[in-house]
Amino acid sequence: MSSECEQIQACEAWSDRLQHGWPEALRAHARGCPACGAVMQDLDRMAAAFRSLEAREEAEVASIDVSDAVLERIDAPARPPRKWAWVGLAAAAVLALLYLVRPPAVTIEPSAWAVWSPPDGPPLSLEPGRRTAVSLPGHLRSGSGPAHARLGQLGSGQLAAHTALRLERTDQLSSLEGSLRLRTTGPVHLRGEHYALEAAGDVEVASGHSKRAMEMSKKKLMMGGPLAVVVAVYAGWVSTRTAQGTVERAAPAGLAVGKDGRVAAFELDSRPPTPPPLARASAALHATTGTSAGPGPSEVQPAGAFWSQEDEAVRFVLEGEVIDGLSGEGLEVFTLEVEPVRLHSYAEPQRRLQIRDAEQGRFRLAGLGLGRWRILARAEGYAPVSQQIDLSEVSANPYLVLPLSRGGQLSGMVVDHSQQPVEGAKVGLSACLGERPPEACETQTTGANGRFTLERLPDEGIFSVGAEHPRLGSASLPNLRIEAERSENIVLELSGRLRVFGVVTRGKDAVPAEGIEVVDGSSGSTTLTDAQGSYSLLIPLEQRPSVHVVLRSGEAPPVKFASYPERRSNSVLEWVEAPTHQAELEKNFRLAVEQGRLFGRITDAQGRPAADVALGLHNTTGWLGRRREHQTFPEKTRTDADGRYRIDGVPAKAGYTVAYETAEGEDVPLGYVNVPSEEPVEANFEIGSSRLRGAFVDAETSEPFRIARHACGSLFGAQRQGEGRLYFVEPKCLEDGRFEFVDLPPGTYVLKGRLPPEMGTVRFEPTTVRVGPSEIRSDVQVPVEGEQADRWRLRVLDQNGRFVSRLYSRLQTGNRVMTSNLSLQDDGTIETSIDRSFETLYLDAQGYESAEIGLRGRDPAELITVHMRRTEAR
Amino acid sequence: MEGALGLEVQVMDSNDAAEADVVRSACAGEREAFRALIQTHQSAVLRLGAAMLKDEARAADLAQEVFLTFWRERSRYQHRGRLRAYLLGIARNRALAQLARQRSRTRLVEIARRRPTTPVPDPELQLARAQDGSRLAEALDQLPEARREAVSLRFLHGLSVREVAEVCGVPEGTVKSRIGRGLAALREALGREQ
Repeated sequence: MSSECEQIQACEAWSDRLQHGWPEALRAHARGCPACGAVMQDLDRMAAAFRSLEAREEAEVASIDVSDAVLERIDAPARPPRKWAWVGLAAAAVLALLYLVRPPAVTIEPSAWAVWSPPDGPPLSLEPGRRTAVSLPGHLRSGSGPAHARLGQLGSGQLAAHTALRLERTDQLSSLEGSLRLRTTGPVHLRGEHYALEAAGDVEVASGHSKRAMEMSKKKLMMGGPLAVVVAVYAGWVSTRTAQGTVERAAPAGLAVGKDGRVAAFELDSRPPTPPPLARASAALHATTGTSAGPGPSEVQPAGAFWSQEDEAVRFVLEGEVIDGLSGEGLEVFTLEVEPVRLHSYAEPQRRLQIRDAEQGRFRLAGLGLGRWRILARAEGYAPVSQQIDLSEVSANPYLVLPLSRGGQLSGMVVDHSQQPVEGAKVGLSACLGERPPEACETQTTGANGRFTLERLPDEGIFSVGAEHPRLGSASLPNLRIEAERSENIVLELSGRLRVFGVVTRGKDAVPAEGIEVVDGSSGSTTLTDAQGSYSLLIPLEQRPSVHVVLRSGEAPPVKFASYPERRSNSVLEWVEAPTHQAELEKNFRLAVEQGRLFGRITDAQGRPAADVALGLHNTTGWLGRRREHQTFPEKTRTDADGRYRIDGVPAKAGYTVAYETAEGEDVPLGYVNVPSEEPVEANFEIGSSRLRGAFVDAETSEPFRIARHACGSLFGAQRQGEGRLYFVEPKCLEDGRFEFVDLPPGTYVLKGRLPPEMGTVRFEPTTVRVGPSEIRSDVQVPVEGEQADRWRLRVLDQNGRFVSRLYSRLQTGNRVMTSNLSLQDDGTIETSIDRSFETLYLDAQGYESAEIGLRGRDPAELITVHMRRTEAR
Repeated sequence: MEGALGLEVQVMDSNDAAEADVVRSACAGEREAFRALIQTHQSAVLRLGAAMLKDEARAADLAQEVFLTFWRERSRYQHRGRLRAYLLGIARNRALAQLARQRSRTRLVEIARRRPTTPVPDPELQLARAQDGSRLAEALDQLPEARREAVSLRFLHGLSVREVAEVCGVPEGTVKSRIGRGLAALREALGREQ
C-alpha cells in the first residue's frame, strides 16, 4: 500500500491520469492510504466545486428557451441583400450614366467664342510672365480624332495689342480658375485637356459662361460628398483615356496678338496655319550691323516682335547703337554679348551670343525671345558696359543706346611687408583674382620694380583691387572709386610669410622633445625640433596654413603613431589660423602621453628560447588613432638568440597585442599586454614549436640525392648562436629517406650532415634554415656532393627455398671494408642502400657460405635473388 | 450503425441511442424533433455562450445562431460523435468571432463580470459547495483562455478529451496538457484561498 500511496503522491502534479476523467481508481487507492488524505480532499473539493458551478450555470440559463425563436427564424424569408450592395449598384449606375453623358468631341467653328469659366469664380487674371492653369472642358477634348477649336478675332479692349499668349499642356487635373475669351481667325487644334496659359502682356478678359462648363460645374456641386470621388475617378479616367488616345505631341501652342488686334494662332499639328499678322521668320539669334538692310529675308524684319517659325515662339528684333560716352560718336569696332537674364519658359534660346566688328556703332539683334536680356558691349580702350532690356511685350520696339566710357586708370606698386617691391605679383580687380575669374577679367603681373597700371577701370560704382603672390601672400584695397579718364596711385602691401615658431614638450613635466618633426600642412615644409624642443617654420600665406607635429624618435626609426596630443589626434596637432599682416606666431605643442617600454622573452613550450622571431605590436585600445582605428607599430622587433626582445617608445596608457610574423608575413597574436605608464613592462610569451622536413639534393643538379641511410642519422641542426653556444637537434629519418626535425623551437638553424668515415665519399653543404613559431616546413633541401647511393632489393634463399635471415652485408673497395646488418622485411626481401662507388656486395650469414653479387651493370630497380649454400658440416 | 441519411451514429448507451433517433429525425426536417433537440442542448450552448461572451442576451442570440446553423447545414451533418460536442464547437467558433469583432470596438475589461456577483439561491446544504463553485468560477476566469476553455468543456460540459480536441481544433495531447495545467492552477488557487 505504501508504494501505491507513493504513486498517488506522485500524482500531486495532476498528471495525465487525472485528465482522463475523475480518477475513481485513484480514489479507491487513496481511501486506503492515510497519507493521501490531502489529495483525496482536493479531489473531492474540486469535483464538488465543478458540480456546483455547473448547477449554477444551469440555473442561470434555465429560464431561457430559444427553441421557439429558432423555429420562427426557420420560417422567416431570406434576408434582403445588404445595404452596401445597393450602394455598389448605385455607384455602378452612376458610372455608367456618366460614361453615357460624357462630353462629346466638339469643334468650335470660326468666329465662335471659346469660353472657359467657372460660374462664380473671379474673372481670369493674366499677368505677364505668370503661369495660369486653365482647363479646357469637353468641347476642346477629342473623342476619336483631333478636336478643333477656332479662336476668332478678339473683341476690342479684351486683349491688348501685341499680347503674346501661350498655351502649354500640363496634363494634370486642375479646376477652372477664371474665364478666358479668345477669338482667332484661324483654326487652333488643341488636344488633350489641360493647359497652362501664359500671357506676356496686360490682358483684360471679359467674363462669360459656357453652357457646358456650367453644366459640368453644376454636376459637381450636386453630386458632392462621396460621389465627388466617383466624378474625380471618372474625370481622371476620361482624361487618361484622352491623353492616351490622342496626344501625339506635347509641343506648345502659341498665340500672338498683332497690332490690329488679330491673334496669331499656332497649331499643335502640322496643318498649315493661317498666315499670322506678324511676318514669320527664322529665330536663330544673330546680329547684324546697320539698319534694316540686309541680304536675307529674316534680316529685313523691322525692329519689334515677329513670329518665329523655327522656334514656334515670339521673337524680337532689337536695334541699337554703341557710342563713345564722352563724344557721343558711334564706335566702329565693338563686341556685343547677349545673355538671357530671365526668359519666359517658352523662350527657347538660352545661349550667349558674341558679335564683333560692328559698323557705325549700330547693330541689330534678331531672335531674342520674350524675357529679360542683358546686353554687354565692349570696345578696345573702353570699360565694358552692360544694360538690361525687358522684352516682355510684343509692342516693345526698343532702341538700345550703349555709351562706352574709357574708364579710369589705376597705377601703383606691390611691396612686401618690408616695403620692398615685389616682382611677379598678379594684380587686378579683386573679382578677377579668385579661382574662377569672370571671362572679361584682365590682370597684370608686376615687373622687377613692382609697378602696375590698370586701365579701363569702371568709372561708376566702387570696386576693389587686389594683388597676390605665390609665396608672399596677397593684399587688397576695397572701396575704390575712380572717375572717368582719371588716374590714381595705390600701394599694395603683401601680407608676406608667417613664421610659426614654438617649443614641443612631452608629458606632464614638459620635457623638451627633441627630434620632433613639425610639418606645415599646406606647403608640406618640415623642420625638426632641436635639443630644447624649439622649432621655427616659414609659411606662405596664400593658403590657409596649418601646422602639425609628427614625432620622430631620436635613435629608433620614426614611430609615427607614438605621438599625439592631449586631444588624441594622431598626427595633426593643431591648425594654426593665419593672421593677416602678422609676421610671426608662437605656437607651442605638448605631447601629452608618455612612452613606455616593453620587454620580455619568447620561449617554446619546453622553455627553450625562440630566436629570431619577428614581433609586432598592435594597439588594440584604439584610441591612439584619430578615427579610433587600430594602429600598428611600424617596425618589427626580432628576438635575440636567447629569445629576448625589447621595444622602446611604446605609447603608454594603451593596450597592445603582441604578435609574431609567420614566414608568409601574417601576424599571429601571441598575447595582450597593457602599458599603463612609462615604467617598463615585462611580457613573456610562449609560442609553439615547429617541424622541419627536408631531403638531400645533388649539389650540382638539385635532383634528389640518395645516400646510405646512415647519412640521415648523421644530420644535425644547430640553432644559430651569436654567443657561440650551440644547440643541437637530432633529426628523425623518414621511410622515404627524407629527414625530419620535430619539436624545434623557433630560430635559425644550420643543418650539417656527417657520414661515418667508412662511407665518407659524400660531403654535405651546411644549410641555414629559419624556422618560425608553430611552423611546418617541408621544403628544406640539403645539398650533397659525391656519389649517390642506389637502393637495392635482394631476396636471399637457401637451397630449400627458405629465406635466410641474420644477414650481414660487406662492401669492399680497395682495402676498405664496411659491414652492416641487414634485416628481413615482411615480404622476405632485404633493402639496402649502396654507394655507387662500390661494385661488389658480399653477403654473409652464419652457417652459410658467403655470396658475392656484382653490382656493376645491374639495374637497381630489379629484385635480385641470391641463393646461399650452407657450409658443409665438418 | 448506418443511419437513414447516411449518418453513422455511434451508439454508446441508451441515452445516446435515443439522441441519435432525435438527430436523425431533426436532420430529416422534423420540426418537433428539432425542438426537442434544441431543448436538450440549449442549456449547454447557452452556458458556453454566457461564459465566453459574459452576456446572457448575447448568449441567447448565439444559441439561436448555433441551432439555425445546425438546421441549415443538417443535410451535410456528418458528425460521428455526440451532437453536444458538435454544437459546442459551432458555439465556440461563433463566440470567438464575436469576441474578435468586439475587441476591435471596445475593450473587454470594461464589460462587468456577471457571474461572480450573481447570488446563488441554493439550500444551505449546498452553501459550502456553492461558495466553492463561485470561487472556482473566479479561479477559472484567472486561467489563460485556452486552458479555461479546455477545463470547462471537459468538466463543466462533460465532453471527453477527444471531443474537446475536436471542438477546439487542437490535438488531444494539447488538450490533455491544457487540462492538466489548468487543473493544477485551479487546485493551487483553491488551496491558497483556504
